[in-house]
Amino acid sequence: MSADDTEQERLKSALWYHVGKLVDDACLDLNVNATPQFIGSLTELAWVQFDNIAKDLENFAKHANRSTVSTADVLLLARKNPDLHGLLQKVVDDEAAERAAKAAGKSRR
Amino acid sequence: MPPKHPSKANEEVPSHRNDEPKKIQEEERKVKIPPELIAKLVKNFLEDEGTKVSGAAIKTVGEYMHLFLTEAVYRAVSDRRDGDPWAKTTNSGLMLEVEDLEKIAPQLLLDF
Repeated sequence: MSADDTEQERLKSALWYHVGKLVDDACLDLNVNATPQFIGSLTELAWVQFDNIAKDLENFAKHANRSTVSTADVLLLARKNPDLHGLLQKVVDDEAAERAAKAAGKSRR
Repeated sequence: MPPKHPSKANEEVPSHRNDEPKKIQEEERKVKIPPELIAKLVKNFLEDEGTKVSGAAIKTVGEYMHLFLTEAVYRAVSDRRDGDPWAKTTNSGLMLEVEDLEKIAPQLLLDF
């Protein structure tokens, strides 16, 4: 096993752990349980999804002649799903407002 | 399947699970994938070494994946409970299996 493979395995394990925690949290709300196989499969699904969106994001940024992926690129991911777009737009707006507030606080001091 | 807003009913599910104001819910959301891991995963899959990712973008991707994963669970439960994930039915000892994920995966991937 090469060093790169080991790194991939480590990343996937980390993702697995956090997917597990997230699923448990959601299951608690719904009064259900998830089998370890369910969590493992969902991790695999998320892993592939990360692969897809990372490459999409990179290409969106390149298309806009940028070398840095911005929030505009992430919003493009959700272009086909208006509801998802709305939820992500809210996160972007909140983040921007937070930054603006921080900047204002700094300049006052 | 309704073509235009395929996930309208389900999309609202993770963020409106009860009537508390949204603000409080967001603060209460302790379980989330750490941004550091999101950043590592995204960078792991980038093809060009020179591509960078802004911090705000990482945060948004984190929310995206959070919704993706939560949605997967809610849809799987919803499927087993005939469309209502909160149904107080007799199957409270419901176990989510790989087959449940298999059923909802195609539409989930189309919606994300």
